[in-house]
Amino acid sequence: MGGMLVRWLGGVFVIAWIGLSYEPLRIEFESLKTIVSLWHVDAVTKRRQIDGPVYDFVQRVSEIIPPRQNELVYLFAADSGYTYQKSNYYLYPRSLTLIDPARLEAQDVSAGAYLIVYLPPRLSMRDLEAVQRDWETVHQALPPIGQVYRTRNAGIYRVLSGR
Amino acid sequence: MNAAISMVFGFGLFVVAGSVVIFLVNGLHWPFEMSRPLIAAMSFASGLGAVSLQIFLYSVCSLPLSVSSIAIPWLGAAAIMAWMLITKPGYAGWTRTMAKHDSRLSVVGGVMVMVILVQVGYCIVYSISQPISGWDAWAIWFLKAKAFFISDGIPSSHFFSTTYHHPDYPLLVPLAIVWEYVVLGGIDDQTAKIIFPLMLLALLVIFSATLSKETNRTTGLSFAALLAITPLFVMHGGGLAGAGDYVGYADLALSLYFFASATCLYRYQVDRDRVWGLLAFLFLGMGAWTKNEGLVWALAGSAILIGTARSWRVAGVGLGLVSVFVAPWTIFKIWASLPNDVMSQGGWRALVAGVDRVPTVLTWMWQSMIGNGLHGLIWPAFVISSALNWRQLLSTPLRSSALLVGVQLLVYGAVYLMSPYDVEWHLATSIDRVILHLSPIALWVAGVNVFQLRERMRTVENGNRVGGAVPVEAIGGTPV
Repeated sequence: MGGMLVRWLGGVFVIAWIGLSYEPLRIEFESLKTIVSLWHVDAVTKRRQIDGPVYDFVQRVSEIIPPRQNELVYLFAADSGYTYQKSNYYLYPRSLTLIDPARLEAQDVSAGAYLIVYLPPRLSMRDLEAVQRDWETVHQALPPIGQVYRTRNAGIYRVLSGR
Repeated sequence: MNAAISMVFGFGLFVVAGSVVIFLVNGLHWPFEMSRPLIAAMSFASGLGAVSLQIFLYSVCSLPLSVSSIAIPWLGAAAIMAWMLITKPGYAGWTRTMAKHDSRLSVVGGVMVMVILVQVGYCIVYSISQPISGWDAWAIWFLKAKAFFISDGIPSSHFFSTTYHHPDYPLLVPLAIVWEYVVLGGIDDQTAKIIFPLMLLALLVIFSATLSKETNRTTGLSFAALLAITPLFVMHGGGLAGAGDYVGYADLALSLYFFASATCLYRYQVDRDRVWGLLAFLFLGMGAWTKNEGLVWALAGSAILIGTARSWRVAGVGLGLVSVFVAPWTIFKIWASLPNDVMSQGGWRALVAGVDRVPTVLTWMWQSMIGNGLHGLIWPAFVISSALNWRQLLSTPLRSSALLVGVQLLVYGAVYLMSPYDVEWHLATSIDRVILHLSPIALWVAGVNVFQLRERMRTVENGNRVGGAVPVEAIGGTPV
């Protein structure tokens, strides 16, 4: 009787477990379809799908700024954490530093360093206004900069004088 | 094709290096009592730790990171080991025993093997067909790997000065990836992801082999199959499109080392064979070399091992093994003043001040273990089976595993109480992963509990059928 009960409970448990796994297993099956559909898609396109426009931006930066450890790059970005982390990964070994508008001092910035600016293509009006305010603060605090490359939402600049 | 050959060579070196380490740990003897799949899986796990530590030591000593400089020492040691094994008289007998053991597999067992292989196969194919996407994967672990590979050793001071990637995190996973990059001859993070489904495979093999030894083969394989279909393990081992892709996180590796150390500790307490005790110490050290959470685990596990070791030699050598993996990185961290930004430095005061967070932490733990289904029914199975089998659980070495799980959960809880971050955010971004570290042990204990309960019921039924008295030991009691 006790053995039957344990077996019965065990059976219910296993069925419940498999039932609980139905959704993940369905997603697994769907993922297999994704693999097949993306089989001939190259790695760059897949990365672009995951990382979005920031990937294209860091690729452009990679072409312009040499991959050297002593190459100082300052980043000003709207969604600073996300863009910084992504850029840090793709732009390594360049020494990337995230600009904090509230703490930026002109004497902290080195002459010859690069400044990269990136705004995600879609920003709410409120975020855009906040970014514009931050950018004005940064621009006033910075030493003179020269434009190297610019698009509607991104730019690469060179710091012309400084520390 | 070249990449595939390079990868096979890369994994091969992990297995070779790991088997050399196990051979050395076992006092220049091969662990004949282990099955071949178990040796292969344990060797892979040990090899990840050994090769990554080798790369770190090379980096500190400014030695070049090349295929030959890393592989030749291991291949040389493996050749000596093979010569010693082939000339050993017991080797032929061992291969015959293994062949006999491998031939026994029930139909249910065969189905379970298929389930495991399908799941691991899926994880391999999906992981290497997609770029890294999980946040910690590229922001922490693959970034560290890239930095060490590009710098051909220790990266610049600027790299360690930025706190975004948690500079004090240990390096087993990143430096194992560096070895893949060295073999591939460049950075190919998508291909290097294959290391993670192989960690899952190693975990499942060790799980199944050790549970089979304790119960029977069908039970071992059935519980391993349940682990293989558990969603969070698939997400960390291969990734699920749209639901979660955490391939590249170090948590699966930590799960592997936690489980391997717990199961070796259990075996050591049952068999008293020194190889299990020393392997438990080895995996405790490797856990600490994987993530900081492993330091607490190593401390608790070492305390239990020392407390139960019958030989001071095992305890002494074991502590030496733990130190080999803990000391180099700890010394480097102190020398380079690498900060820890995850735990508050407030000590007991921070802990006491965080007491009001207890309900929040418990709610999130409950959600992760039971509510969101990411761990399947592992934790209900652990709790219910342990409650039903409590007498056996507390009177056998199984209690050490349960104790370790309990201690580690308490420590995780305390870390959340002391967290300098918004606790809801901290829990939301990490609770599932930290529970993942302990889930295989919980399921393994549940597997043993279920088997013991079933055997006890069977004994009781048989006793009733023949009308004889039921032995007190059969129901977990102690004869007077």
